Amino acid sequence: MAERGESSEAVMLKKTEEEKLRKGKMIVGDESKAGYEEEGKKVKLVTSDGVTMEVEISIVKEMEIIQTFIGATDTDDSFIFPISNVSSHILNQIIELVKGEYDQELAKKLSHDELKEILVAANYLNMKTLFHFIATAIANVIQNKSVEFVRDFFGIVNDFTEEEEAELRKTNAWAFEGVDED
Amino acid sequence: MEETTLSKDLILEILSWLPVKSLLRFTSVSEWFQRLISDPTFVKLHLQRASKHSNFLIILKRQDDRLVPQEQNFKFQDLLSELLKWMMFGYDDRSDTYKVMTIISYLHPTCQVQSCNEVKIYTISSNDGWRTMEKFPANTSFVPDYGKYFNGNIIWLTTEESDQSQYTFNDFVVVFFDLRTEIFNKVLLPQNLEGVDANINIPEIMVLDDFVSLVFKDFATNTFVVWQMKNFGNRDSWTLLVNIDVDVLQTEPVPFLKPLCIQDRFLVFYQLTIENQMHVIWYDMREGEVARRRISTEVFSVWVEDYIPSLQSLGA
Repeated sequence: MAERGESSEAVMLKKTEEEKLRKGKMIVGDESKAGYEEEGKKVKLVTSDGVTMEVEISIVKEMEIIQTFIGATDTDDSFIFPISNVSSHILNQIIELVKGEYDQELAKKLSHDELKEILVAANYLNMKTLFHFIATAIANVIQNKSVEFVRDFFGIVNDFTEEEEAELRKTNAWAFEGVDED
Repeated sequence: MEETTLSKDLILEILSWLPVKSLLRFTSVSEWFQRLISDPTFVKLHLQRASKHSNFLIILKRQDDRLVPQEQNFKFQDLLSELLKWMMFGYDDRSDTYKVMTIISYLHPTCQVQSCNEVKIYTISSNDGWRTMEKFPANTSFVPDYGKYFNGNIIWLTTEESDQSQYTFNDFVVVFFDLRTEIFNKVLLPQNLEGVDANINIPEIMVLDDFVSLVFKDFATNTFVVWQMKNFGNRDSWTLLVNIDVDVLQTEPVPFLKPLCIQDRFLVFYQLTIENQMHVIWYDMREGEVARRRISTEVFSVWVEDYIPSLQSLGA
């Protein structure tokens, strides 16, 4: 507890400042402040592209897959957890979303591939809130879109014959009204 | 960045949050998508996730002399046309089935009120056909054309007897049919309202904010009154929700003023003006303030339904 001498208010202020600085930046190799108190504690995660990132414990706590592991071991500064399915780029996006308290506006700025990758990562890391947030965000993106858009979005090949597809479109004709431009 | 492909589970998760209209459109994506969307497990998941309570206004407008609903009709229409008088429809969560109910009443003068009707039930996707139930335990000639659905029950507001010309609130009874047990039950209106003239102050029941509610315009005090049955089936649990000065709600006498729903602290009404214009009124139950907005002109008919769009199939 290196900050003992300071008043709790000062510590809070300092933390807010640090928070601002960190926001949006990848924290690589920043070990000096690690572990000075439970709140500010960080966990090192090694991403699929080999980047070691220090992630605040408050965010890591949402990653249930890591939480189970942490709970089972003594955590110290040398604790490193490999997340082989998540790239540093996606992990940064995840950190942004969690820090931004899952703001829909943030999700709108993400590309389609980022949305899909975050969903895969949230599923892998077992981040329940993020998983629900991203799944509904994707549903919002595709909701008013055309069949062609959805094929492209999920990478699905149309295996209907022309007649079959025409028949289906006829049956559900009303569902094809008011579709957004791709 | 590489193209990301999602697993079946992840695709299902996304699809489960989509509205029915999108899902029906996306059955055309591929055969696999069509199978995913029509899978009974998915249909059930989707229904669970569909928002629990959403109120809609169904407005009929004249269009080339045909009545065209603003909301899409569902396939149930085909079934309806072949059948008799009053059709009710609801979900039995105990057996996880949908049931259709019909009441056939015989309006013969010699017929005793409580015996001149037949109640039949049809369980969707079963082979049982129409099953005959116990008789409707009150006056069917007063029953409006359909019951309301509330939490596994179908409910009606009617009178015990039919041979009167003057009714007071004590003659009325809320009849409910439990779709799980398939048994009728009755609850009287609030004790405080005994003696209120029902021929002038016409009582109605509806579901507001998850409570069976009694609504009526009290002509003696010129107020709009809403009572809620806080504990379903218990007469003593009737609680007065609001008592609103009608002049606060409307600027001119209107032929038609009804509650639509409750949103937080707002009781929302809809009204039809003499010029057939529809207005929606928000009444702030805390501040007593009113906001109004015209939403449609030349309305032919209007009523309110509470429904959840689902992919659930009605056919066997």
